[in-house]
Amino acid sequence: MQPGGGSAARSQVLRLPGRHGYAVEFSPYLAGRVACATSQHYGIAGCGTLAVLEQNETGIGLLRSFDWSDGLFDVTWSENNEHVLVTSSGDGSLQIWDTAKPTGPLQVYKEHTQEAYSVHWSQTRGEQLVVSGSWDQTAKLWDPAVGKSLCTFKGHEGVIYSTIWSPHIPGCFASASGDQTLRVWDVKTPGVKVVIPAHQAEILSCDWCKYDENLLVTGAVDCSLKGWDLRNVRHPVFNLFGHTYAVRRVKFSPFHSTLLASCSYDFTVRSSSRVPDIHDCHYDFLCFYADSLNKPVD
Amino acid sequence: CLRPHSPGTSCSAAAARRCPSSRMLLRLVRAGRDVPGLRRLHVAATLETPTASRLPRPPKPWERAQVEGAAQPGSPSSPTWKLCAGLAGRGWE
Repeated sequence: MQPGGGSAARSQVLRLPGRHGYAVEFSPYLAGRVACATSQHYGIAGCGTLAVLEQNETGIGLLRSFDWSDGLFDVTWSENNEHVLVTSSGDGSLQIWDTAKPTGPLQVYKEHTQEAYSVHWSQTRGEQLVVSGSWDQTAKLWDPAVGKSLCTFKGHEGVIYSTIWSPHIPGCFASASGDQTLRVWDVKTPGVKVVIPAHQAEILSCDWCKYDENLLVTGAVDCSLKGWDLRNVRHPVFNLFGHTYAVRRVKFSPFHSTLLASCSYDFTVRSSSRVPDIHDCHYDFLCFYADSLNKPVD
Repeated sequence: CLRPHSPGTSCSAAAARRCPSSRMLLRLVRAGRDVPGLRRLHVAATLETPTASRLPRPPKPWERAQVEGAAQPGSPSSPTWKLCAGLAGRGWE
């Protein structure tokens, strides 16, 4: 799926004229349903659109689109309702959307004082929580049914680019920041649990391994990806090089313990099929499909 | 406002005729000038309740793998699982 155009032998293409994609997420409920957070004018100015897409035998179609008055930078699906999504916006607000109610957002939560760049719905079964990360250097915890945040997490000394829940540890999330640190938080305490000076450049993305609760990966403006074992954060457990511009997003596979993929401002998407024993390796470019939870990656 | 990590590369030639480049946009925003074609919307919350869910929550692939106790194909070794018990006693630095 390539909102900006381009071509790849095995990909399906849907163009959203006048919109630049910032985030894409498969529905945890419905195979082939994808949400895409987009912004007008590269996200520099203007409005945004949440596009909900559906794959079928003829290709990709637009199921629903929702407009917002500022750019949309991230999207996350509800884990307890197949209709519901949350987006984060350039005006600092979060929006709750319902794919079956096209008239507008159900709710708007405005607390962040700068761009809300990241939003994520909790992945563990016992909770229904949302975490947002902002350029105001804070992360906020939300009950999606409540209009006020439950807690604000302060400590980062730069903009937050990504906030991601642990897939295994209830109430635990990681944040990646322009202050060059990866931090791990527990919602039961407002102070940070772990601080990792992971890169000597802004960190734009992080993700948890789905099969090792101690392992995270970061992607940074220095073009590299680094793996981190929370039991020993003095050194990364792996370094992956190959991108020639900033790493924009990195994801561990939902299916394979050692497979991860990243996309970059160098216009490539790359995948590694192994976490190497040695610290440095180059890895090959290949076409990559976004991680549907229903379709194993080839 | 300025967003330093928006994609900085310009559109293709055809698209550039339809939309200004990111460099031009930054120049306009910094100068406080209007951006051509800017959509100004006023969107309000409807305050409706969500549509009732009818589907059970599917298990995640890693939850299925844990139940099945199978190693993922292609991985160099079986994953080791540690059941979660909160952050206490994890030995994280």
